[in-house]
Amino acid sequence: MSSVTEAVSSQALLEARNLVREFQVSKGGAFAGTETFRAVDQVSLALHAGRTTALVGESGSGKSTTARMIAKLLDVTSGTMHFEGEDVTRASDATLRRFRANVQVVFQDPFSSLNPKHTVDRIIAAPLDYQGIRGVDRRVLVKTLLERVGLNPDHSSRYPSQFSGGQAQRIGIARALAVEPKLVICDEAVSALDVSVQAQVINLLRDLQQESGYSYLFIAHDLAVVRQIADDVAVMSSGKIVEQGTTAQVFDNPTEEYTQALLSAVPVINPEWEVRRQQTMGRIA
Amino acid sequence: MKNLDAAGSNSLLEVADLEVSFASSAGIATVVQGISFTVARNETVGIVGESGSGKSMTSLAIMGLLPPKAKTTGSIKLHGEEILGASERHMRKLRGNRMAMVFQDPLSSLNPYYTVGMQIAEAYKAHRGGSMRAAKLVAVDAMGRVGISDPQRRVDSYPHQFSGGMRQRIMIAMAMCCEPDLLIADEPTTALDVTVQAQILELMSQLQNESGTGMLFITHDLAVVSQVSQRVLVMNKGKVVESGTTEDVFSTPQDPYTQALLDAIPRIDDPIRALKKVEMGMVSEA
Amino acid sequence: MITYLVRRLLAAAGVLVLVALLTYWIFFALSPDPAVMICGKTCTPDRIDQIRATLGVDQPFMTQFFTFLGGIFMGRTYGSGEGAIECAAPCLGFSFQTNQSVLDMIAERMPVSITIAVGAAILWLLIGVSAGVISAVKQGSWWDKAAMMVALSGISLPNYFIALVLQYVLVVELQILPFPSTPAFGEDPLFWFQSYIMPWSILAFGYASLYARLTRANMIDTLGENFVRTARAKGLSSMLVLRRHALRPSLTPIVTMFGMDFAGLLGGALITETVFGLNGVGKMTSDAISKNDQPVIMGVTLMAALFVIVGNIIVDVLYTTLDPRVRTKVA
Repeated sequence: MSSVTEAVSSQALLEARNLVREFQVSKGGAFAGTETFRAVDQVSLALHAGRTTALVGESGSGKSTTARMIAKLLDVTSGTMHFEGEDVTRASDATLRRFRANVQVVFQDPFSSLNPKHTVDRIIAAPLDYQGIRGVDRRVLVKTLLERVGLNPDHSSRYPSQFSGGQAQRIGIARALAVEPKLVICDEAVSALDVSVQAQVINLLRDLQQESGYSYLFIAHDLAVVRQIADDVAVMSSGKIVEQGTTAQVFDNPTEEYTQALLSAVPVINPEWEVRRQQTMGRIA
Repeated sequence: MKNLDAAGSNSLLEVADLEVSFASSAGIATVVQGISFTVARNETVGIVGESGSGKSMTSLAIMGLLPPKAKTTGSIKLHGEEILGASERHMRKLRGNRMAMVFQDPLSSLNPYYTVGMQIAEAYKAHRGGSMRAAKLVAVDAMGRVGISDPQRRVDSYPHQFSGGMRQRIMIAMAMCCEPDLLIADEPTTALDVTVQAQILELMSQLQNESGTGMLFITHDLAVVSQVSQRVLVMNKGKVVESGTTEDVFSTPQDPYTQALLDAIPRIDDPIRALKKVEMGMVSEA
Repeated sequence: MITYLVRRLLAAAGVLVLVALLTYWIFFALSPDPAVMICGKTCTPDRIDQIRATLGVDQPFMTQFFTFLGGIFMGRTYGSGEGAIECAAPCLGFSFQTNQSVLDMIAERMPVSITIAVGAAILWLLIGVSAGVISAVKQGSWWDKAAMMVALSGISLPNYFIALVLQYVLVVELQILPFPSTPAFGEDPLFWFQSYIMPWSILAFGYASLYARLTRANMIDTLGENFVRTARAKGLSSMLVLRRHALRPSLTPIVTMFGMDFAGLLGGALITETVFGLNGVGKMTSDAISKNDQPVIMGVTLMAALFVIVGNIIVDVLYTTLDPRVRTKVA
């Protein structure tokens, strides 16, 4: 697994090495002291342009903490992060601003991550202000973005509450794309959506990647979704990456016992039923 | 829509033309629109649907736990006895006793202020009487049966001292302690990790085999429902759009909504087939 | 637990020193010269200097402050020779206007303030909490609306206003109650009760209004919790669901508030005591303020701060037994 990582690491868009994050947690009862809890332990990842890397694991595996460190929403305890070859581990000011213009996040719950008092117009254009980007026609940009994510561009003066969950998530995606980022971190971005809407949003993310060559870091607990969207997969457990490789490798020939247990726990529909359904519908012979 | 009455007259639960509506200043919202189905002893019937399909409202209507402002019509029969419109006093005797329920989020469904043993024991005591001490012994036994190790000691722990999976086992122990005829499970594994989900589903089927309890399993997860239930109802916008044996519904779906759902779900075992673009009129996307 | 308590007590001591410093600074540095106040109008400069020396106010501010702090732990002596005044530890100061040590003054009046606080607390807890619970259960009913109207007026109407109206109607006009005084309970229980019933009611009204609204809000939140639904799904009686599952989570925050409110009241109900002429710590404070008797104000302020801080610690410790989630973490 390490050979795969290193072979391509030279041209990685973002490269994280040995990331560690520790938290102080209270020990036992209310009156005891604190102890150190290592949520992420020596995690290394290389993210590439045009590729989707999924970070999977169960609750408490450290996948979200890792994502937040890579998005620089959380400081690392130790380890290094390079973006396009530049060390951004402790970046501040100008470097950080440049980093934020290149790395955007789409969150799980679209409604709580969109300000309900702002219009879609303002929500989508906000990152431009934060990055100090001027000389762009906001109206044109917002309309183009809404079209790209499959929403009606005439709805730009509406508020988030006037949209369905799937549409709100599209707004979140449009906001992330406003600054033309190179890396988009999708933190359980489709987990809260109904299956039919989920499928549409996954398709949208794929189409956008094909158009613009984004690199996705896809955080998810749903392995079936990951199998559909990811090129590379890293499986996390107890803060560590236990297995890493291409999606086909990890899903078809998992080498680690943990990955095997995780995969076999995923409920599947009897494949014979599915074949018969496809036959009935005349899709396959 | 096909109405399915395979179980016939020896049905444990018979729901007919059930309608649930809420009146508000904006008008009347009918969230369940005349659905009918049956559950037999030792059988699991799945209700699958997306958010807003009315599946959870159906379960609360059967338990008589809908808010007072909800208007319910139709018929709900348990062992042939009409319970829709029964007195609160009578419903109380059935709840937790002849029919019990397991909810989605076990942490918020357990009272943080009391030990899990006490919370199981009070369910037993409410129907079987006796002392709290005797009921506690039943709780220890029930916790052992749902696979909690060292139940004598854990009976005095509080909900927050357990993991999510263990909490759901406690909820199941609580629901099963009076050996109900009907168990309604409303998204019982949705909040759990997949490995834990597999364990809980295994536990539920094992308990069902032991007791012959009829089960109504409500979920949004098609793969889960395909594994646990013998028969399935697909709900959309308050209506049952399709029902039948699980095999029939999954292999020869008749309704376009069911077909669209089956096309939409991501499959871990079929990476070749690209996700179909879902063009469904019933999904409220722009 | 022990280390926690030690930490809390040390922090409390620190807060008390800060309160003392601030109060001391405000009164002794910013208000008129206490020596002039004591000496009166026909006073020679020599006499003033003499008094200043006795009071210790000729010293620099920090020296004065540390003398005051020292007095609390070791006692102090005002002046020297014949006219020297001993103030034994814990010396909270000496009032030259009443010729009494501040601690003695407080101790003398404390029973009245405690009687008022305890009586009012019992009333407001009983009335406030039960009114809140009934309102929550019968949300939207005429009872709920009426109770919340009354509660709103209890919060908005200043209690000196209600006190004056009550006093006028019940005592002066209808003569149902005698003019309040502060008799000991043993001497004349009926008169004792008649004297305290008005101040109790007035104080309780304001607090009960607040507690009723808070209890109602907490209770409505709790009734919407999933575990209440679970309790109903078990087939528990509505009484049991209410009493066991809804009430306890709703009342836990009330305990915190009660601890603080009660501790605050022990420092004297200033307005109520003054209006009814009851000679408690509150009335003493209001007298001291009007006469600018600084040592008394200082002493009462410190004592009230002590009550609130101790009350706070007791509530926090109590909370750990009330809420199992605070007591124990994941095993």
